Amino acid sequence: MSAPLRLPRAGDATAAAYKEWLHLNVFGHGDGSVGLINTSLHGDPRDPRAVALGTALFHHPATGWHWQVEVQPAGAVSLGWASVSMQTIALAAGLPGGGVAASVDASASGIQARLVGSEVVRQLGVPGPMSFGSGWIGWSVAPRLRLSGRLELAGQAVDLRRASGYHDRNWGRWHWGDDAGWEWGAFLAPEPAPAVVFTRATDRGHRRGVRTLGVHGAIRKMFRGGCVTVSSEGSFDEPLVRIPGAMASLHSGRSRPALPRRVLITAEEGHHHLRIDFTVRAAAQIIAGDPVVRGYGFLHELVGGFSCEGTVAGEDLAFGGLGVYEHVD
Amino acid sequence: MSIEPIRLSSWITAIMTHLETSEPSAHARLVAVVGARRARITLDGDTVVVSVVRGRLTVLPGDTEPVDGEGGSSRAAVLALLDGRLETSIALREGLVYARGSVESVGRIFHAIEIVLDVSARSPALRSLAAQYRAVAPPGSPVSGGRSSPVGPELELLDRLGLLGS
Repeated sequence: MSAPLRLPRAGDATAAAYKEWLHLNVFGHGDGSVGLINTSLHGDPRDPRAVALGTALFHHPATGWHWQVEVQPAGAVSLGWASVSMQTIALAAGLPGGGVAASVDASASGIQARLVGSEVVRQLGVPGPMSFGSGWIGWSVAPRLRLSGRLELAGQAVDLRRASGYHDRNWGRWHWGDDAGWEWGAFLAPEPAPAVVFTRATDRGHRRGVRTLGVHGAIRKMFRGGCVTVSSEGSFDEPLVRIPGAMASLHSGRSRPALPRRVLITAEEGHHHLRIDFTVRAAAQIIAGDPVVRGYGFLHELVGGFSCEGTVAGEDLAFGGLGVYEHVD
Repeated sequence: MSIEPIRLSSWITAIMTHLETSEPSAHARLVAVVGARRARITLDGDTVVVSVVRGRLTVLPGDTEPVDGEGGSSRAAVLALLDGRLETSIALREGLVYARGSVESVGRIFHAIEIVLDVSARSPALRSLAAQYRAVAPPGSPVSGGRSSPVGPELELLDRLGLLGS
């Protein structure tokens, strides 16, 4: 299943609140590297204030964070059927078979990537759209991709034969700074383990919103609502990478957010139960400024390792790998 | 062929022009924040004084006296801040960005900077200006371009008072 960019049509009264994201995560099981590449559109591309934002953000256990951020007027970037191409970062979804292609050309930032991801687990359309802040959000996800191409961090190649990919897309209408937030996590072990994806659209204070935990592989199971619980332990108080820098300078009061050292996600429904134990290794903060109204969203990317155990559909599961947990407020 | 560096006065004038065009209300707030005060600003040895004259922020010669406060940095440190490679708190602590004057004056200098940064999130013209600033020359090292720390005594005092963060 693939779809074009959901660009606002002429006459759409909500076009100013248009947002769309194309997103790819990479989990390098060989060397422990974890990262993301995404391109996003904020505001009606016909509005000169609208921006396209490209982000590549990778953490390597030995060399730390590497990042590249590119901000351009939305009208100045190349928009394809399901692609956003900027000078240094490009991402295209909807390749034959539901695949994804991404490129990052940022030697100075230590990132070089030419990646193709092909679906291992077919893409899901998540029921929606859901209410989100002043508007709504839609989401589709390809929980596991097989990656090919090349990825270099600080000149060192990441072994893509021992890597997992994850792809999702968001689209909708909201303004950064709305009373909105989300929690999301993708936990991938090497094949044939299932990909486990957690999500919750919520308010800025993270007081309400339905949690879902999906198991996507040879066995599939979606836990929803009260059977999914999340708790955290400890405090991650090491310095964060905060980007873009100008927005970080503006929000110095957000330089030490309350982030957990460990996140525990459990799901129980009848005979099915699952427990994810995620330990944070490093964290970054991406600050999204709305191009139309005065408002900001703070996207915290926590990377680390996880273990998972439980029983789903009569099958005992026990595996571990790499994960990303995102906390947005 | 060498490229003549763009003067600080030109950057400040361009910032103010784009600020006024992009969000006149923010420009008015900045003018109100600055009020009748004068600040001396230095970037890599290029010094100007800014002041509001007839409702507009105006760039005056660097040796204009008196001033209510002063601040400065280096191009390398500014680029490191824009790239997210340097946190504001560290830049201040290390003297890569400095501001001097009464608490009131220093507060107003940072308030004015925050107004510009905030509008930049919604102003293509200000973002374009930042891109031009970046394109003028390679950023170099923020430390080599920075001042030797002028705040050592202040840090020692804060440390003695237990007010210095970890």
